[in-house]
Amino acid sequence: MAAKQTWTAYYPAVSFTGLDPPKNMAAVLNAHAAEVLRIRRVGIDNAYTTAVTGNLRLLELRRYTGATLVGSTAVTPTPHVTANVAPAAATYGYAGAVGGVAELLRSVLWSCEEPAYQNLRWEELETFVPLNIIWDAGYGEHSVQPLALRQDEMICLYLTFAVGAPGSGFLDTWIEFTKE
Amino acid sequence: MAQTWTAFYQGVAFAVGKNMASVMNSHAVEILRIRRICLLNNQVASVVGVVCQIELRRYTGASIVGGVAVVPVPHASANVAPASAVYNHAGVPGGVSAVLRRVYRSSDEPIITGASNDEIETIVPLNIIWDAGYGDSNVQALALRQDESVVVWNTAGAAGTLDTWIEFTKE
Repeated sequence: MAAKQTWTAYYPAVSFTGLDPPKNMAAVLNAHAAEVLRIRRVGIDNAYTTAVTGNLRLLELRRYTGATLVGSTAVTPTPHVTANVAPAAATYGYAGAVGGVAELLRSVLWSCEEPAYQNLRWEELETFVPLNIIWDAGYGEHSVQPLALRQDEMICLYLTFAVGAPGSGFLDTWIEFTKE
Repeated sequence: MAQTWTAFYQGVAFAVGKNMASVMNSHAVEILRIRRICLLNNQVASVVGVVCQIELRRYTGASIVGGVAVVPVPHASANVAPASAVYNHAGVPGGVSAVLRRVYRSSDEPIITGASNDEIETIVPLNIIWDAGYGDSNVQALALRQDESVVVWNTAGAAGTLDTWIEFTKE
């Protein structure tokens, strides 16, 4: 089986600010009628190196149908092979306004405190890549469908809840996807 | 299966703005595919550790100047080495970089009977920072075509050492 054209979209140091309304921390929206984007893996990472007044954050991984994404901050996915042809009508971004019908896939509770060396608390465990893959349905298991984005469908990592100051802390997210 | 190598970069000192491990392909036809990358804390001497932040970067239009060469180990000794590839640390990378991900790192030394992030950084499966497509043939591995490189780049933190291994194939 030939590998599908693959990209990693990376959303570094996205601030946890903006709980009213809640915030899109990372999103991929497909607007193309024929192309299908398949979400292979989603990872989040605490790569924060300066002191912050951290606290609890609740993230929801959502799939939207009839999706829109307005006013987001764009990111450019990196193709795994530079000869890949980019999806024809996709948007990748954080923040902005998300629209459509949301379906909740899972929630992830997160500490936005900065990690420190010589510690092994929640914050430090959030720095290890293999421990913080939050979506990998079908990865290496061909009986299972990965999450597909058909026309006007979107995956969004959505900040819904925070304890303490919503303005503190940052999140890195990566989304690995293929095009068919 | 494709011819496979492991390039190992041992005991590379952390410095701010440093190439900790890299592979660059200059060949017009051969493609090197990065299968897995792992970081390990194998430092056994005492050090005043610091916070480090590492970026995994892919460069296009790549160059690497200077540095300390390493020789990858073929997984089958009959393998024919890539015709025009460079493997080094400390060399200065050039080109257009794309950051694939960032990783927080403690550079303190692990100690027996300890259980902080320094010690967890010694456990191989927990410290693989790149494995796109590993075990899933639907997903492309990161490819290095002509004049492309992958670089483990330390952006912050200047104490201690790092081991890195990069597993790649040639096609």
